[in-house]
Amino acid sequence: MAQARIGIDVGGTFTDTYLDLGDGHGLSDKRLTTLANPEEAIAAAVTELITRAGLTPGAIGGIVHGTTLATNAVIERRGARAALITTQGFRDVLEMGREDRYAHYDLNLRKPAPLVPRSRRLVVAERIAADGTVLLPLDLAALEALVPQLAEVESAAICFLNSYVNPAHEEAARDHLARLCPHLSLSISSEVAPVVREFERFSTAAANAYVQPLIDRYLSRLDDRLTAAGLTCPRHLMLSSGSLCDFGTGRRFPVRLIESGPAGGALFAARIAARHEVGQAMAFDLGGTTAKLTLIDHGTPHRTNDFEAARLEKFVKGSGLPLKVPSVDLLEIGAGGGSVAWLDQLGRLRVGPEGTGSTPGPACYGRGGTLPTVTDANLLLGRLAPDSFAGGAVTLDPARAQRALETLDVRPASATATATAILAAVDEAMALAARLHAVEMGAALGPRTLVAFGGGGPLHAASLAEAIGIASVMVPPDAGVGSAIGFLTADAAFEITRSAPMALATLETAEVTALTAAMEAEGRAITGAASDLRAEWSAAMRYVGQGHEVAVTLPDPLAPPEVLRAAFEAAYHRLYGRTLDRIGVEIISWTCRIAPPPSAAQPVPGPAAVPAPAPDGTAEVGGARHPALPHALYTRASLIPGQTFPGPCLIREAATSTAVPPGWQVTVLGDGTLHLLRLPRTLSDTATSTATLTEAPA
Amino acid sequence: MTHDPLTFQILWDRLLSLVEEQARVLVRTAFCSTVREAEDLSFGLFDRAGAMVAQAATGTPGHVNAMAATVVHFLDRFPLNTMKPGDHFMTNDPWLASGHRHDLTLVSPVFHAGRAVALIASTCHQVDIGGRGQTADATSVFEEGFALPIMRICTESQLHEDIRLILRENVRHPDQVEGDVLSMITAGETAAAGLSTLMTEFGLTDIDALSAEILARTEAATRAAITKCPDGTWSDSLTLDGFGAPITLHCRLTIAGDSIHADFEGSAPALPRGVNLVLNYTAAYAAYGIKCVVSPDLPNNAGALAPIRVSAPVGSVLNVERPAPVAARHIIGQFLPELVMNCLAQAMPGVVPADGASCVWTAQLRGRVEGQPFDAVFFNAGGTGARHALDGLDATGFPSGIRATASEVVEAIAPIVIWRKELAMDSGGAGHMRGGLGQVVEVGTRDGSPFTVFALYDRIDHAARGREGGADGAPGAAWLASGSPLAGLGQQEVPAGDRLCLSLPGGAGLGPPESRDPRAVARDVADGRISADSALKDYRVALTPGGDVDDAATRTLRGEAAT
Repeated sequence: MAQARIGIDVGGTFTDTYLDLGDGHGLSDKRLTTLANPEEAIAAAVTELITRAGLTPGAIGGIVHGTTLATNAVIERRGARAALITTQGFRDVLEMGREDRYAHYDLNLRKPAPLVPRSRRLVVAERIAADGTVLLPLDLAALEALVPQLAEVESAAICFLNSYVNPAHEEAARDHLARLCPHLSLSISSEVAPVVREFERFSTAAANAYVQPLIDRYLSRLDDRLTAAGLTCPRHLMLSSGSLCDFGTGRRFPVRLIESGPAGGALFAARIAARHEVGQAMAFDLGGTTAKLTLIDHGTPHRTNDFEAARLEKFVKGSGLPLKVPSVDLLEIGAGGGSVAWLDQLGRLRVGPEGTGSTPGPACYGRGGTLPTVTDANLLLGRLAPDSFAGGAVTLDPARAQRALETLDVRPASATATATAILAAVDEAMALAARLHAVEMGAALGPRTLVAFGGGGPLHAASLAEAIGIASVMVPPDAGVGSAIGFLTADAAFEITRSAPMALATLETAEVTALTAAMEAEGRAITGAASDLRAEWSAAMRYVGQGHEVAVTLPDPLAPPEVLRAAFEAAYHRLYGRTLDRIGVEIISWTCRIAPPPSAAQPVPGPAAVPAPAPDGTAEVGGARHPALPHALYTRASLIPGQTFPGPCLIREAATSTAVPPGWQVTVLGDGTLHLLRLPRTLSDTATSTATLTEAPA
Repeated sequence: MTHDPLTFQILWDRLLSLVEEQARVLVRTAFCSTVREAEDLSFGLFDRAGAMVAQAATGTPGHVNAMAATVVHFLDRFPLNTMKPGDHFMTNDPWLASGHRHDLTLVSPVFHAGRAVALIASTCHQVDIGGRGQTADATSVFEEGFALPIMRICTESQLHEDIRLILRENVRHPDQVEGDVLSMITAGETAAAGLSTLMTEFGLTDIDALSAEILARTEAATRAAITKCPDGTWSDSLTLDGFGAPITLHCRLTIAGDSIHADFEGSAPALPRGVNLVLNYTAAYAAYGIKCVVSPDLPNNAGALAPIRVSAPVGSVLNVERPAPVAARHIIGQFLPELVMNCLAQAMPGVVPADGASCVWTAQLRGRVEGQPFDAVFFNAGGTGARHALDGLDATGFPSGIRATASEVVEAIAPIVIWRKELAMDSGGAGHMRGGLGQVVEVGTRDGSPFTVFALYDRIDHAARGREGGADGAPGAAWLASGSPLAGLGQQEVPAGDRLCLSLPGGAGLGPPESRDPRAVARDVADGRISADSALKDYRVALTPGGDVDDAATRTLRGEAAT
């Protein structure tokens, strides 16, 4: 029998825990995060779930943990007092960045404060050239002279220019300081993110140093706490990339944990897509302030090596701290239940990115909020039940929602027409961001299945699908603790990227062989020597002379140059629609991912058809693209696999509701997933067919 | 055809998204470091009459607003009904486009259902276009590189072979230029296809009504924003280092009802060297400065520019005629926002920052190492002026929107070593709010070979001016590491074994320094942004040996009564 395992997702507000019994069933727990000591809530949740399942701690075969604690420490600036030791002449790389402004017309623009202030950015003489040659040896005496200043910090990042080509000086400085200052946590940029461009690499190393002491102490306490609770099974951490690592690796590279919670959600959606044999999907999570979208192909979420943390201006690229860590490619949009609707200077209705948060919250919460939000619009259109929102945690007041919407000066001045326009606007904001992202990725959206979870995902999914031109939506069961479940589907894998520019025209087989062997050995040293692990290769490639690369999967990194060129040109053509015949191709960096072979998801058999359920009742419900119509009401818990019934209807459960617009039908799949399909006769009825809506004042 | 309000809003957003997408693709596929690293490009959608309807939020104001005035010239030469699918047109004419030959502007027609319905345009700054290079040394435009009058360069999506060959033959780095031209063509075609798809999706046969509505709405909102400003006329002048002798620019700015007129009458006459501006470029930077103050949140299109009129006397440095040299026109152009904003500051107190470095200091180097010729360009920014409630930004470009290139990328491309690039202590002007810090840059060749620098620097003799009691920013300087000073403008040699050193100007301060929060002063001292000496002399703040504020001594220094 398969062993029981536990997934734990610690967010800033909630700790979600899922006990997978290994037989296709599971139990979940949601409770408030104990911020000062997050391990308290974890221990309580784990103990309770084990008791509820009638198991003993010894019966648990594995634990996977993901958390936003590292992210929150960066956002709230609660990390360590850290120093940064760098090449003389380059003290301000962290602060100068790209010397640009992320908003072109804003005279009052602010820039994010660096994680290490200037007073703790220390320099030593040393210099390595772009080809790795030592131009100036490392001044060890200067390094020793820094010891008194380092006595006052608990962590330090060592960041030298061109260390991505030759890490010798960073390694020597680290080894020397480790002897001189044994109390210091040391991060070196050539190990944390060995890629070209000093600002991004230093920024990543500084973030690693900044969160390391905090995460180190936390993981140590958690380890002890789990052991004390009798849990001696293997423990793993979720990385931002969607892979797993052991606690030791997490303590060395805590910056790689930074988006681990949301990565779990994407994995959850990927597993649902794989189980139902959906090749192209898109994860869709909509919470209180943010919507998150992730493209999924053949059961694998898209990944990226570019991430930006702690943005000063919500969702504005360039206003945060760049982190070069492998991450699940999450597109975040400032659109959630609490997002505020407003009119811009041109009289256009806009939604977000400003939100009301949980306090005071949307106007209908009755906690002092007066601004019109997406949740207020949903309530006025009958899409939310006032008494059972979020499992009854909040009672919603439609009169307050109505007053809030009436403050928007749109015509015709009817609160329900405004509500309709708000939902359409929020759909469009998400659809626009999704399209822009898809163009950048060279991906198509139309043929995808939207996999919806989170508190608001199921309510908005079909409507968003209509705005994008998607005809299929899945709403899995247990969507409220999706990330914790997703953790349990992750592979124990580790990814290493190394800048090593090589032109295909002059590619040296011996050099590639040595590089790839070294990278593979480094990766396997971290993942351990399990026999089923294999190396997956990709490379960042470009035409000689370009400045940006295309990620190319390499079936064999030792393949002859013409095969590598063909792989690049196929990827380039897919993205940009043209190849350039006369120009050479080069590889800039190599990525090695040590991972087990992909485990085939257990397909869920299609259930035999059974008679449609009888609705609990009907209600008038409006939507972004339809006026108020009678909707059948169903309770999700009473649906059984094999049932098929048409929209418009609302399917209610404790944590959320699934809205099925007219023109769609629902089938309950074998694992309880709701599959919403847009019926063909309305497929030509595109996003443009907005009903009679509002008119802004002239 | 009219659209309901929500559909209209969706379509407008989709047009903006379309140009933004392809501008990003252009950055990703470009070869020149100016485009791929510095993002010195612009990308826009134009209606059939050549009015700019949507523009990507990239690039420098000099491109952005100049491109808006360019497309009509293409239509004059090639009327829309003579264009065919797969055609692309290009020019680098300074007077018709963005003011120097280094900028290539491509225009591509958009066809839908067999009809030309719109145009796509992009401008990309090339590192080299032949001639002397991007230097101020030329005495006429004929020395400033390859000239491409408005021409059809593509038929049926194929770059004409004769154009390709003549272009390659005239520039120092033919692969870069050809690669960028191909990338521009691809982006133009993809954007055109995207618009056609959008029109199909929404059942549109043209975008005339949509464009008209976008422009009318933007123009109305811009005029409404101008109407909120007080009426009147304000003047200011600005003296710059110039080429060999200082030059003075004048601006007379009039706000009358819902329109603004910036007139540069009285500005210096054209200079014999390549720092002159064409009117397109003058108008572009002046309009940018006005927009920052009056309507920063409105989209940029022909409607936003319509209420703003810019004039400068023919033959002045701000409106030269052919064949005046213009290659380094940005070093004066980048001061124009400051000049117009200083007029607006008189009309609207409390909004406009103090002066900043304004001009980006480009390190433009050429040489030969181990027999291989190289050209290297990297951008460096000084400090911006203090704002009314915020300090100036350290080492940040304004008004330029370009990005600095990573030193590691510069060194990977060219055989040079950047030995120093960091903030300069005490370079920000003292004030209640402090000016942003400038930076110090030191660069040499890998093996000590001699090299040439094309200096393009100002504010060496004329610092950024403080506002309302704030102090001036530190002036800039250029010199050889061996000691001799360099001129701010023009081609100069760096001998073997020597290095080029630049100290970039700081931004000016705003408000009296002795009213600055003493704790902010202590923090600046701890961070090495200002010296303890400056804290004492300029800010009148006394610090304890531990670096904390000595409150009693500070009160005495500032002449405040003890509490």
